[in-house]
Amino acid sequence: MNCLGSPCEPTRSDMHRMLLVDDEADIVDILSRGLELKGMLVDAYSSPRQALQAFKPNLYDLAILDIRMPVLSGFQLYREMKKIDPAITVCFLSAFEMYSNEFKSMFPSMNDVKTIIKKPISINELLKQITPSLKISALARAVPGEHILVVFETHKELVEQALECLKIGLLEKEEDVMLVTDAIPVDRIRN
Amino acid sequence: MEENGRIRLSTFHDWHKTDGKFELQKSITRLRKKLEQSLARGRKGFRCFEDMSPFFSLDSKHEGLRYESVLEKKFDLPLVAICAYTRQSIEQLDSPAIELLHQHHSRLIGSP
Repeated sequence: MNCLGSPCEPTRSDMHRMLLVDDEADIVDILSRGLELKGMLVDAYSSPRQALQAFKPNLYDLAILDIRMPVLSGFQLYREMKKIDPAITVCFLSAFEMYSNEFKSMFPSMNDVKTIIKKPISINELLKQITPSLKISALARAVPGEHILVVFETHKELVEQALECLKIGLLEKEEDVMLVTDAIPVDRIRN
Repeated sequence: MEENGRIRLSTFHDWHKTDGKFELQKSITRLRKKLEQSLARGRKGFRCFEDMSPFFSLDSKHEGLRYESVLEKKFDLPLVAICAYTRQSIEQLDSPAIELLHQHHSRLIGSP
């Protein structure tokens, strides 16, 4: 067994830090406990106003926000958080089924929202759904000079995330980018 | 974007092999040259995302490890190098190989 393939004791700096905001206190309690048991650091709020007041840039790997909340909706909170931390990665929680493509066509200004999570949800399913976002968030925060190793569960996930990662380099970091792979025909990427 | 050098797409073979043989030092020299060209064009840096799977599917994992060991843990250049593995590939490596990967990367993402 090795440290990449089996559980290792994570140091605090290796742990993912998440922001969770939902006005339903029971949901906040259950999800935050579950995520903490899975080794995450969670700052959980049932008040979006308080969450916003405490929000700091470059602190969270991922924010999970309920869409429908009084006073400040998840969308409003997202916009305010983006002003403070433009690189923040966000997933929304919704009681209604909503597909990512459908969401992007309805809200083109929130094109960087990767995942809409339907409630209720088990912790294992939540982790499964947020894991790709956590990886892309970590890659998005890569700083010049870093040599990073990233492990993907499937080759399909690797290819999808490669394209996301290069898009961030091109559009947000003003870098030139290169992809070395045999996975997809180069012509398909070009098109 | 490919024409003006902002994006480069390469197959594993084209990037790593010359006359069918691995030329890893040449890959690294080319990487450095790409970075210099980007900086000369006024970019902030260069980001390279490499799918490491072909090292495994071509039964060349030792070449892959040699490549990793030549790359430094951190660069004093505005280069972001991302080495992407699948879980299936990582599980083919023994403990010394994993230790080597730990030593030569500044960050590991996706470990359980």
